[in-house]
Amino acid sequence: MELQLEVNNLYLYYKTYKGIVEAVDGVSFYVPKGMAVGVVGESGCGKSSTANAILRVLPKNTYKYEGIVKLDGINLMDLDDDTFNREVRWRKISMVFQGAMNSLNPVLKVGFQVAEPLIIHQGMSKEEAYSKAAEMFELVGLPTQFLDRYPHELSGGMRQRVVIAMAMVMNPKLLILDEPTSALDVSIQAQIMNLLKDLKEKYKMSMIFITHDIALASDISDYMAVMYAGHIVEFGPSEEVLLNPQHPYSQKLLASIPRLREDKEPEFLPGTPPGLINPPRYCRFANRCHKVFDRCWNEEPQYYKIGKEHYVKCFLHES
Amino acid sequence: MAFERSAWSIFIESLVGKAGLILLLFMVVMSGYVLLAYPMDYGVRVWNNDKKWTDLPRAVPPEWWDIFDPRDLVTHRIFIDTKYDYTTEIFGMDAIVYEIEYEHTEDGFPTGLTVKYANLTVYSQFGAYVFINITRPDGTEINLFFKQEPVPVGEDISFPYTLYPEQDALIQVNTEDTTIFQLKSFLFSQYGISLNKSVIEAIGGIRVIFGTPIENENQTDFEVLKGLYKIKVMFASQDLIDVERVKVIIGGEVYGILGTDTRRRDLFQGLLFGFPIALSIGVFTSVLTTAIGSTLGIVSGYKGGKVDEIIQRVTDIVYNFPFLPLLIFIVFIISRIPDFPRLIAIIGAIVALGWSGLTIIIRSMVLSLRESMFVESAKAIGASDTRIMFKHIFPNLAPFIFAQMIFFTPGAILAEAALSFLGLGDPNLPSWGKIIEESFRGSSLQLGMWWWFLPPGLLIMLAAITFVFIALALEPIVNPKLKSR
Repeated sequence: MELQLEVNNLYLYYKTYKGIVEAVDGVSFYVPKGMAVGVVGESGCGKSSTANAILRVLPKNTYKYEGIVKLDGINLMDLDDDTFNREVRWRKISMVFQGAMNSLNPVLKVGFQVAEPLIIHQGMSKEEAYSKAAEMFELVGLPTQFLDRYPHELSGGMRQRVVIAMAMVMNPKLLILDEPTSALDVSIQAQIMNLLKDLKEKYKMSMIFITHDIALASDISDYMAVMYAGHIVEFGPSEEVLLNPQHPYSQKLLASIPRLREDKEPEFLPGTPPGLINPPRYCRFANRCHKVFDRCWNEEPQYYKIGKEHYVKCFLHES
Repeated sequence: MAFERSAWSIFIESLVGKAGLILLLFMVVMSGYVLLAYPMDYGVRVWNNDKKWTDLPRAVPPEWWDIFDPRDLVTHRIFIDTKYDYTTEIFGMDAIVYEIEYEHTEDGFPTGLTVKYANLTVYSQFGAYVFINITRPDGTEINLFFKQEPVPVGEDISFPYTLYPEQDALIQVNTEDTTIFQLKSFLFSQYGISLNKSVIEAIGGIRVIFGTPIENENQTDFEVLKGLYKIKVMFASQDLIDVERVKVIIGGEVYGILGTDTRRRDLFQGLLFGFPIALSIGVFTSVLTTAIGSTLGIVSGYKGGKVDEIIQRVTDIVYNFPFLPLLIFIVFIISRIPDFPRLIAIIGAIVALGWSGLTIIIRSMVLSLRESMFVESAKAIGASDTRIMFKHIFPNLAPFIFAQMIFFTPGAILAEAALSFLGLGDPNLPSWGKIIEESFRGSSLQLGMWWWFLPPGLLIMLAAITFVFIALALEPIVNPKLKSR
């Protein structure tokens, strides 16, 4: 199996006046070619930070940024910012930001915003870039006369399509989707999901699909990564993770989903996740875990391989 | 697009918007006219050149002031003749005659009768003679004046020769000795009144020319004679003679649309020239100020860190300077540099002291904008900082910056007027502030010469109000947009 992206021990810490925020703490996973990996987890667990770390969109207060991010076998972390900007960003990896409503500049025409990466990265003339943008509009199912509109003249779903067009405009190999449907109503969500599935099929596009909605993630993902407090606690093929979750957190998370046809009360997780400033040096889930034992309070677990491609970060699976 | 249309309609539907736009249009049209019709070096070549203004009366109110003045004021009249009307013969010489008809209707006497002529070309070696006659409404004719033009001497004189090529010959007819003598004999032969020369001079030659004598307590006085006067200026010579231009000036007590100052200058022209000056100062200063202020604000707010710190501290310092004293100081220092254009010094000084307020406001707006998703997304697609600042952040601030620019304009116009009033204005340009300064130095207020200081003052006000109106009309467009963001 060919890997499109391989992330190994990725760290991204932020420095704030309260202390160091360990947002991404030794994250490892991979994206096979043409497959989609769903990253699920609750708010503030570091999903978006992981995406930002892969695309190297770092805030000024970045404290620690290291690890290995291999795209087609080349470690992107070895590239300097300029090279990364020129050769990887948007050309190979692009991203749909959280809250498409706000990620479009309200005073610029959407056509220009879609065409802008081409102008920046390929030095295309405005006309060429616009015609390419028009192609992208057709691809995502928007009429081309919308090129000349401002974001506020479009509905939420249309804006989301614009943002996807913007991400697709340079035919990247990997598309990171950060909560692409979070602000949309369910029917529009379904449309967008269908569009994304089409793109995935048509262009054999690899995707990282970040969401807190497990149902949605399962719709498109071939692999699933469950994140908790800056760690990926479980990673594996979707069926395995969803049908046979091994990490206590994954189990609880899946159990919390209400089911329509089963006579089963949704469960809940007591307590709150640990703050990411000075998080515990032992298992970060220990304080909420229903299977916690002594060792959990003393050291941090490693990844344990429990299936062909199934990894869990829990002492229960040591052996 | 929809936004632009509605903003425009909000603007144009408001009363202040309409008024401001009409006033601005008026100012632009005036400036355009001046720039097309006046030479660029008007200030040096015309306005401050006293030779250009000798035809005009000194310090007189405008013509329409006659309506409000209880006296019947005489209008200043200038007649220009470039082609002689007929030829005649005087003492056996051929003469060309320039005849001017002047209808005197006012109760007062003119203040003077002046004849000027230029480029008198004489072909005869015996020289030329100038005669000035006046035929009065009562049919009497007075030979007011005659003189022989000087014949150049020397061996290298060639004929024909031209007299007065650069400066017009000027005959102040009513005070010439010849005229007084002629008037004396006219009075005796016509009315049997015998007055000696000094008495006529005391009465004033002009009253004799344009009046009829009345006996008044043993003293001869004159009453104005209304009607059509024909003034003939004749040039006689043995041979051909040619004159380029003859001017007959009937001195009056009112002149033009806005009167004249003590240097005989037509204030209307000066005030007209003030339009492009005021507009250019307003526009250049506000554009430069907002450009610098908003650029620094955007950079400061977006870059943060040391850059922000440096820009903000400098801004704090500049912001706390006392504006006017320092402005006077800077312009005064720069005015010591010879040949440095004062207008540029003034614009530069206002800009240098005026940008700081905007920087502070823009920075605070950028601080919130830079955290927005679209800036992060622009960073992610690999846009450079410069591109983000000016392609992504600037358009969000543009309506506000534009409104600020217009808000700043009246301040710049007033600052220039203030500097000019203090004598720091451009000495070569008749700006409105400069005209007020001259009127102040000419004691116009004490002398009641309202036409000298009032119109420029009103025009400065008008210019300021124009931009205030526009800014007021823009406010409802710009402000809710800012609030909604």
